[in-house]
Amino acid sequence: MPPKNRRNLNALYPDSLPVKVTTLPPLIPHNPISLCQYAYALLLGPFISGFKQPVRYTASLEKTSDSVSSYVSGIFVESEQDMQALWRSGFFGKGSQSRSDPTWELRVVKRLNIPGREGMLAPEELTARRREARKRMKNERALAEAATTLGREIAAPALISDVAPVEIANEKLQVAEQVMAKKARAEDENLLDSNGNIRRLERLEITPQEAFFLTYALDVLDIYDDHTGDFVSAPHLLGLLMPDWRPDNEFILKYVVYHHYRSHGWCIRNGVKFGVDYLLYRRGPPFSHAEYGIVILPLYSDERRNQDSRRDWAWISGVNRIVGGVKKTLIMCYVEVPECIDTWHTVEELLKSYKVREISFKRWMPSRNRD
Amino acid sequence: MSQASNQDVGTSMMKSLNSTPTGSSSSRPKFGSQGLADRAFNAASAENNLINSDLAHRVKLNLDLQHLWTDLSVHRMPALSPESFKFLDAEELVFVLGRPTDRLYATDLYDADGLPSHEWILPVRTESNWSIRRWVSVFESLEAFTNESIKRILMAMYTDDSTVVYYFVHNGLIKPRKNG
Repeated sequence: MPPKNRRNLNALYPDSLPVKVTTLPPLIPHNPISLCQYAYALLLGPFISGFKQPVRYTASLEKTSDSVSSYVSGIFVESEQDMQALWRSGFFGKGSQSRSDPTWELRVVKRLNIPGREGMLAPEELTARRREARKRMKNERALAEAATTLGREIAAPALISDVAPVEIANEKLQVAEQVMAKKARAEDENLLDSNGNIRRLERLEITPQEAFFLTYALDVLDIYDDHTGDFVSAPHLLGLLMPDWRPDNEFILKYVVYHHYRSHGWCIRNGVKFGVDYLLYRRGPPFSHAEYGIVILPLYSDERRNQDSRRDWAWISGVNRIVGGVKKTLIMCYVEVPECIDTWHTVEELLKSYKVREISFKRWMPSRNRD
Repeated sequence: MSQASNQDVGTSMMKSLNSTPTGSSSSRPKFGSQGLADRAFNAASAENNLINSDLAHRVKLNLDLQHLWTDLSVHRMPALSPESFKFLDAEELVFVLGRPTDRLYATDLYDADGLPSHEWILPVRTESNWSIRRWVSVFESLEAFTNESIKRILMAMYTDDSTVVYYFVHNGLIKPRKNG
């Protein structure tokens, strides 16, 4: 199905991860020319592509301390360029004032009617527009149905399905814009600086799992402590995120699952809105809805602990009905927890001591589903 | 809420803002590799404390910037029966108070000025555990603080990627609505 908003999504989001990959020419062992080409590209490739520095991004880590301990309370990407880059290549993070990608500034421009700044529609506006169009369509259908039952001749019904969605959308947009323009608040004065520019009040917040994946697995993100300004290395970050160092620490369980699905090419994002740990997108939110909801469950070698941490049927059924209600499939993702993680030497060895097993779960109604 | 009590909580909010340990944005260090845009960002946060790492302030900012609520303020109040909160921060509860863009229920009444009434929002994290005792304490603490009977609050659950999910928590049962 072509994308509804008619933007070229593939051109907008070409990379599924924030790393640049160079393809080497084909290597055919008995063909000396291909050998030369291969060696040439392998050795001189980096020079030919213009001494490009590997792309790096910067994030800052905030800590909150209570009476007992201090913990990581958020990891933020603050530069506009990095925010956009991390969203566009792999859909990392979430704009702190937006539903998904950081579009707050765009929405302020539209809402406050700031001249000279026209642009694309934010996804929030697209949804609002689609809902309006749908509501209108339903109203018209109801009217038409009422008219038909009254036995009056009316040419409208054929029209309803044929009304160009674009026309409805455009008309709706104008209405929506008028409504938005009316809604200026006293608070909006705080949004502009003394020169009338919009202040940068939106950041991209990335989850601990995303942050660790970007620093450890991809090595494209530099994290600095927000308070001290110190650089936070990957092992240091791991220590901050799992201070208790328990084998079934929530961070490490979630990270193992995150790493697992990212490695298999999925776009994996927060699933809190649907009561699950993660959502899996085939390519990313702009392309299609998430197909799977992931629930993470620890699996211990000690069966008594598994019995203790067992979830009951009411819970599974509830989660499954929510996930099923939004046309996703529930996956129960079991993470085999090692008994002890004291003996690891590298992060890689630590991660290797965890294993992932999945069960997919789907309600079946004998009277309805025949296949 | 009457104008007078609004004033009072306003000043108490100012005090609590100043005593917030994370609130002093002037101490926010700037690290070397940041670009111009980031310095603008830091300057903005120093300007009037709109950005603050505090959970309540993040929720307040989200209601302000994303959901366009008005008249927002943060309130700290002593928790009654704090023993039910031993996993929470301290012996105080932090609420956000604000006015939505429209009433949240079709049966809600508007204020005398024709605007929707203020709502109390309790910012929480997904990690916190809840018991009926804790909820009772939440309502009792808020009632003691406001001297009003509180029928419902909004729970704002903040997750680690800044997703905030809002849930109504009602004090007891509510009458079902006609034509829901």
